[in-house]
Amino acid sequence: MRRYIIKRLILVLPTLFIVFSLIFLIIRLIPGDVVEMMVFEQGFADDTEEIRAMLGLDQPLYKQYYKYIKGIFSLDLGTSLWSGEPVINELSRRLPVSFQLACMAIFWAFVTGILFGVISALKQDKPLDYIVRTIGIGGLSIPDFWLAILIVVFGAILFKWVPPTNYIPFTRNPLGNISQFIVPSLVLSLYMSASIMRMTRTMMLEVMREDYIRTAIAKGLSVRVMIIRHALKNALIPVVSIMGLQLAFLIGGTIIMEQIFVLPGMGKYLLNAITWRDYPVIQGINLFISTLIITINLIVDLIYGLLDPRIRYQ
Amino acid sequence: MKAFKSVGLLTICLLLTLILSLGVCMAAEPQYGGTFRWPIVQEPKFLDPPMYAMSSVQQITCNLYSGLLRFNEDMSDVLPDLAESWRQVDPLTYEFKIRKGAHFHNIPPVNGRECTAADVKYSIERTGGMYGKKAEFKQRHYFEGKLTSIETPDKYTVIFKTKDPYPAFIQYLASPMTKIVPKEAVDKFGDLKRKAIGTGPFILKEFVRGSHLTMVKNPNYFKKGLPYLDAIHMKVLPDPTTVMAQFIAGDQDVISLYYWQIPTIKKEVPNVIITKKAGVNSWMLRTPPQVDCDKPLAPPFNDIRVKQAISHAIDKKKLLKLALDNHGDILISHIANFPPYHLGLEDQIEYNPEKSKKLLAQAGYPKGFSVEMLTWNAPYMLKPAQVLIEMLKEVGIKVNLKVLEMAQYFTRAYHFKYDMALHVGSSGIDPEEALVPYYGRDATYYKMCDKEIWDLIDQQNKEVDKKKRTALIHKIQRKLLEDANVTFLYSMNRYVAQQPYVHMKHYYQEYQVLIAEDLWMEKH
Repeated sequence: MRRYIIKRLILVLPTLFIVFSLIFLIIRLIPGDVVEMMVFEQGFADDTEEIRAMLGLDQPLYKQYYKYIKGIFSLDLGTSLWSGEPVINELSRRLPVSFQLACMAIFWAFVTGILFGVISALKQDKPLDYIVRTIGIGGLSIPDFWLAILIVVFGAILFKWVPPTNYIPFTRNPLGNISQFIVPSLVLSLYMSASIMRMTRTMMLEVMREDYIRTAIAKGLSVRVMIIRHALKNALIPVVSIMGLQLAFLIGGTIIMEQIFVLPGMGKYLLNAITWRDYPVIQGINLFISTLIITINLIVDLIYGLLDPRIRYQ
Repeated sequence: MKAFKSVGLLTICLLLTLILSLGVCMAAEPQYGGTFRWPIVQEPKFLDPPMYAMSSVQQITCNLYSGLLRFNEDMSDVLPDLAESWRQVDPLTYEFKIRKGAHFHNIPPVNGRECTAADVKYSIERTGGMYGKKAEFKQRHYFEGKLTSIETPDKYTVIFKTKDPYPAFIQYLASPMTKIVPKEAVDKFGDLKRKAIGTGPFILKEFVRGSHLTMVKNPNYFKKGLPYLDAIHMKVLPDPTTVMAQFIAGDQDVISLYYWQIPTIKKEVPNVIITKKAGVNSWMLRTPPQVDCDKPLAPPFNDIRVKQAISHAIDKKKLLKLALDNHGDILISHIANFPPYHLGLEDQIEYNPEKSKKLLAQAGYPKGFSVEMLTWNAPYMLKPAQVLIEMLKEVGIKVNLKVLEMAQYFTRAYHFKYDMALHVGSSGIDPEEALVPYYGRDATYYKMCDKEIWDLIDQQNKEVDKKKRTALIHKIQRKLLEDANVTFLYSMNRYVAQQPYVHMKHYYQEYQVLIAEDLWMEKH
């Protein structure tokens, strides 16, 4: 096990290095130039080279790359080319917003997905099963951005109500903060919830046909104990793994939700940065996201190794 | 009897008129207080007035800062702001008297001190790029190299001496990008990108990026009795659907809206007031720029008749209907519809597809030709592009549309790498701002080689007699139309929806946007 852990940890380092380098290169390979966006029909715009020098973009690429890598080690992600604001400051302010949105969405997805998945499996081929499955298909089919817009528009037209959009920090007003996140996190969780529901149902049906479950029921174990202690535990292994896969989709979803529900999170910040070619901001956010995903995958690998000895490399 | 009835009827009418007038007068009595809710559609990058010409920045800075002068609502005249009076002493000298008792906001390090002639001198020099990083001051062409001196003989007098006669000078002093800032604040903060200390009607209280911005009433504003509002709250709402929904739900007091949102707003918000303002952006179809004057353009654009054929092939009326559902104005030239510089309808290029075909045949293209048209991926560009393709097809010009992402498009456009491009240009505060960077000798946004136009542009830049200058600007525009390098299409109207309890003046949304000093609300 120790050897397996060390191997996995060693593999992470080159992965991170490759990812960091790709982030730096890819955004510079995208056609379009921040300086041209800055002049954008303003003034007489005869100073593009001066602006380029001012922003340090006239330096050779290797020098810029060296500065970027050096910055990573000293936790200096640079400053926004547009606002002059240090990227790390912006990230520390916006990260909790996106993190809370994602966590709440995962929470809703997990709770509703597992609950309805179990109900659906227990009531197989009954009306309730059909209803839940239909809702599940709907959840997979309805685009979240469309649903979000519907909620905003119809809420306003029918009830003269819109979801609260004035960001309230959790520390200032926990109740107000959570109420602000309920609608966007529910919408964001819909697809994930439907996936979990369907996966839970399938796995539960499979596990329920296993011999040990039949034995447990024959021994007189209550249904509740049988489900929670025996069936669900085994059924959830693949569910946990698809949740990991959903993480990338979730990050994409937060961008749209933050835009529609006006949450000052990282997603909206990234979207603006890409539009305006704000390289340090794009680098900083992608650096964070990729590090997070690599770390989560590492943890998942280690847990798998811990749970299933067959996975460990000999 | 009839006469008696008539007199009675007349008396009733007069009484009704009197009652209504009294009602209006009573309703028009401004009320103090309230927080005005007004969204920002595009997050401002920073708040330093001369650094970025963006309406969402001006929406904020015009309420935090004052200038020496400002524009009236329809941009036809300048009004005093911090200046009490001004006069042109001679063709090169302007004397300004500053108001006494205009104080900066009571925020360290300025601490509410009085604004003086020294602040005006510093601010104008700073806007002209004399302090800080020169390239950051995009509007520095207003004053850079244009002034020989700025003198402050006493605390309240500023004398500007221009190098040459400078007709745009007063216009540029009134620009929303020319605001008076305190030197000690710039020295302390390095710039005013994130802080704001001005003499305007409101004080910046909070600016949470990506979320909102709050301004509170300036109790020491130099205009006694103003502002009426207690505060302005601006949420950053980039999504137009969310903006509309919030307005319908009563969460916003005033919003900018797109024309397609008007029916919904009218239906859902009883008594809503919708105001139309002409846009000052110009949609234009460009033919290839000529970067090197010694190198003629490649065929077919080396023949002026081909360019003229393109101009005659476009039915602007139909284009406006199909692309904007008539929510705009047909453009004659690049100059915005501000009197007196814009051209009259008689100068409009006629839509004449037969003439277009004839010109193409004369140029040696009886069956037309194929060409690539460049634009960027926004609905307001794609719709007109599709209509133009069809119109040009009718005269035999086959257009292949190449749609790029915005940043990519501008890279291509600023490197002049296109045959045809559907573009949106800005008109600017003064005609010079459209003429010099687009068609002048050292133009940066477009390139053409026409010495006559260059000379005329230089000439009008030094002509202080308004009549003579207007004639020159008209001449330039007519010459541009004749050369047909660019076909000017239309400008898009801007709409503002206000709740019925809001009383406000309406400004051009691309410039001063809205100065809320005298805005008041009946309900708060």
